[in-house]
Amino acid sequence: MIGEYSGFILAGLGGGAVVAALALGLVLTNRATGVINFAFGAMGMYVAFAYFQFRDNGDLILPLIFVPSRIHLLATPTLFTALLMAVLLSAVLGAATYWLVFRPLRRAPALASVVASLGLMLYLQEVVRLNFPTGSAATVVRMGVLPEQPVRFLGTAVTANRLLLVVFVVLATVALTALFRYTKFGLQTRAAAGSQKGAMLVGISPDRIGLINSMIATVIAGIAVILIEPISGLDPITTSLLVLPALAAALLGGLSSFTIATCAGLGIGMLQSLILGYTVRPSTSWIPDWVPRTGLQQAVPVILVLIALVWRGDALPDRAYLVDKRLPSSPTPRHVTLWTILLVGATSVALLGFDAAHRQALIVTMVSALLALSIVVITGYVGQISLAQLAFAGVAGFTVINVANDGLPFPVAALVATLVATVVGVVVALPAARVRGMSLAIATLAMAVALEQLVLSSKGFSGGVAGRSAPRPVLFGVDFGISARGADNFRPIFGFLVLGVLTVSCLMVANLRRNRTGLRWLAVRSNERAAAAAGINVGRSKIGAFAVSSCIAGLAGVLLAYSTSTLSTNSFMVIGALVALALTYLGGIASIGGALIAGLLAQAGLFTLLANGGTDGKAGTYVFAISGLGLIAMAIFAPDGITGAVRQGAQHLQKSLKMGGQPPQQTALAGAGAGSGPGAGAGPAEGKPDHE
Amino acid sequence: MSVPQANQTEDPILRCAGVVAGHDGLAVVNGLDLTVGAGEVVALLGANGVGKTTTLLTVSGLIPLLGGSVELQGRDLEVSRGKRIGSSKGSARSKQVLSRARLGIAHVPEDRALFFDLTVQENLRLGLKRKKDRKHESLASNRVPSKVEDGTNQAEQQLSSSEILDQVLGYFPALTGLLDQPAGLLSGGQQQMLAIGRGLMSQPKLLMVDELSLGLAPILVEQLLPVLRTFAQTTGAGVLIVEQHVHLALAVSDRAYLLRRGKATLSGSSAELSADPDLVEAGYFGE
Repeated sequence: MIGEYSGFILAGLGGGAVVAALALGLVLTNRATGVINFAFGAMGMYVAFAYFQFRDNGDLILPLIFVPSRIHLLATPTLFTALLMAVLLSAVLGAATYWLVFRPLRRAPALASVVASLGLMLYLQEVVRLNFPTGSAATVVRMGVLPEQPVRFLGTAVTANRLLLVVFVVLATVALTALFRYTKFGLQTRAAAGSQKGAMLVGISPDRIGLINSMIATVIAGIAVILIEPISGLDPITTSLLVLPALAAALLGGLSSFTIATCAGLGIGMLQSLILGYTVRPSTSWIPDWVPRTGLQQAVPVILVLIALVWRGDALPDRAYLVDKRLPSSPTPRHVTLWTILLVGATSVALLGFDAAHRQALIVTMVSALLALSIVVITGYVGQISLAQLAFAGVAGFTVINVANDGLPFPVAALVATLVATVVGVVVALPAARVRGMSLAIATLAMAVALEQLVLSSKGFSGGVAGRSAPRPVLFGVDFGISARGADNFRPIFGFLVLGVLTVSCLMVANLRRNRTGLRWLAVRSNERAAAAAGINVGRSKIGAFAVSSCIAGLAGVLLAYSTSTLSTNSFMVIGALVALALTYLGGIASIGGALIAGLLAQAGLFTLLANGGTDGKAGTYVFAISGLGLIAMAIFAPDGITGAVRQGAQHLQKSLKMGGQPPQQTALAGAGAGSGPGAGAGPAEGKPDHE
Repeated sequence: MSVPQANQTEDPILRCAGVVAGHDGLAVVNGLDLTVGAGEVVALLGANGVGKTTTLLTVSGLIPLLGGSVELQGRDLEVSRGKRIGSSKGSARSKQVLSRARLGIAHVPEDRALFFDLTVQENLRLGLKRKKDRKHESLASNRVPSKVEDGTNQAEQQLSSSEILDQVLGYFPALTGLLDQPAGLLSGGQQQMLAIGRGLMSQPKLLMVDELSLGLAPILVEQLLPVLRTFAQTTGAGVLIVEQHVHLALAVSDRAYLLRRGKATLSGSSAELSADPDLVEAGYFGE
């Protein structure tokens, strides 16, 4: 019996090896710089694209926009020169990303590095799309590196490149382990990871350590992706997302063990291949029809990782989590009535005055703002990075379609769907009681993948690729449906329905933030141990916040279902969840205003419509590449997002107006002094005058 | 660069002149003058928030100097690196700290900044200077002022790393049995020994210890403080300590400075100061 599957297991070695190689790089960069790089797969992807281009015609294509990026280096590149170029290029890429992106974020919270690396991933994907010949694949002949003929291994035929790839990864693992255990450089890296200040005081340069390690890591990633191309292919998006299983493998190794990360990576690859082999057999009829077979292949490994994470987790963080890290500021909502009147008034006028295209964009904006609001609650207020919000919306969206088609009247169907999303949210929240930070981000991502692959892709639930349509919402004989003929499409009355839901949700969140619940949430966010010591039930606070947030996400999903002619699974892909988180961060993750700005910035929202209109669509070419760079810049320079920047600007203005003739510089210094956290050892307490 | 001078006017190990320093551009230390001579233990005293810790952080380069000068054996630390005064940019800052550590300043901060995941031995090994810095130092060692008569100072510069380790374990015998323990598992007192020991591994010219007694039993403090004195006397290095326990500090130091509002309002030999407790008290609480 086992022999039947050994072919599948061995075939999975290739995919497993690339996951393992990326996991190795993630562990290495985390140990050296304390940063987790979501863009790691994208970096390897770019290097591989550059390699195949160079191998084909000697052109080196740089990851730059707006400047000529193609350099003709060699007339007749050889395997050796091409590999050398790839190694050098990945080393430079590793050094550049460290210096420009991750070094400034060394002491930032996990969320900032998630957002910055998402920006980097978006940028690299766009650069590859813009600079490399894609589409008609024949333009570049991708010459593989390793021999592909089959060999016999353990009595089963397997292609040589798979085995050699495994050899490469195992060698890299052994080399890294030895480097860390036996060399002075390894000792220094471990020291710098333990205490940056201590390292500097004994004369170790953390910058040098971080730079060298991220160069090594990127070289490993680049080579692995080059080697995997003949087995798994190469594509800007799919290859970039290989980072997700790699992160899972790295997390299993506690982000510090090379050996466990490699074994977990290989294991994930083989398990996926085995599931594929098992599910395609006709005899496995016990799996019900509604379970998507490919989904099973994607979901089972991440679920196993999730279980392992929860099992390893603890109800309260250990001391290592109590590093002083600046969180985005979360001001108490003020002038709520005034803002409500202003915004609702302006939106109402807009709904009545806009043409159909702008009405559509406005509705998209409001629905996106609702989704962003759910992220503000869970990630901004309680500090739990959740990447499952879009999946909750998807669950609610398809539920409302299904129950409404079964005959439930409009408001009841919507409420039922929201309730379902809330319940799912609470279930997803259960692991959050035991894992936190980056591990929670991955745990919720695993849940999102599981929901997407097993539930949202299920034909019986969502209609599969074709999607499903909701009936028109009618209440007391009033038709709230969105669609109408011609210029009347995207009817204002549906817009008012969305506006109503958004307004009520925002007011509810503002209220929660202002009463004791909000204080408890902020306490949990800033220090779980201290919150527990102050008598706050940390687990219950988190689960409560997840319930509120998934309820809001559910509402967004319901409105999304009613606002599109057919709802399809594509609206709820994992990449969309990442983008939603990034946009909310951009708007300002810890304030309601930030959610509204995130809505404006959302794809097909008002901002993109206006930007495209102003530049005759030319902005569209570079919009993703630029927003990628924008995300990186925001994460580094303005962790409070756009709302935070506006707020600071307003405060500055107010102060300098009050100060009159006085030089504004002094107020800036005073403000900075008062606002800084406990600095390097001494803290601002030293600044206070002593007692008289 | 200063020229070697006659013994009479020889540069002290550390000289702070008119130092202005603080956090985020806000001056806490404001015009501090202070010297630490060779083989001398100097105590910084004062109430909470007068800038004692800030002074140490500024000397080791962890926070920028806003004004005045800091010299190690007559060498201006800030300007010699060609960085403008007050530069707080991360990379420039880190370069300042590194160059000062390599020049011979060992700083044991309040939080001790140990590497908890590493063993005691690894922590100590990391304290060792790079070989090229050690070599450089022994070439320049004729400039190292020394109170030691028999010339052991010169020999010390060329000790092998294991000899240096033995020497440090000689100061703190309690660490000998713990060499393979992770630093995070040590008790508070053992951690303090390790932190000072790591500083001593670099054979510093200036050792600065911030709040040695923080969180330690008084009996342990009474054992640890004399080690600093022995170190200063046998190697001719300077030692600068920040201490809340005035009596302990005065008992172990040669001289002391009393800080108030970022300035030294009182200074003198420790013997004089201990003889006049009222004066010290007045310095703490105002007139």
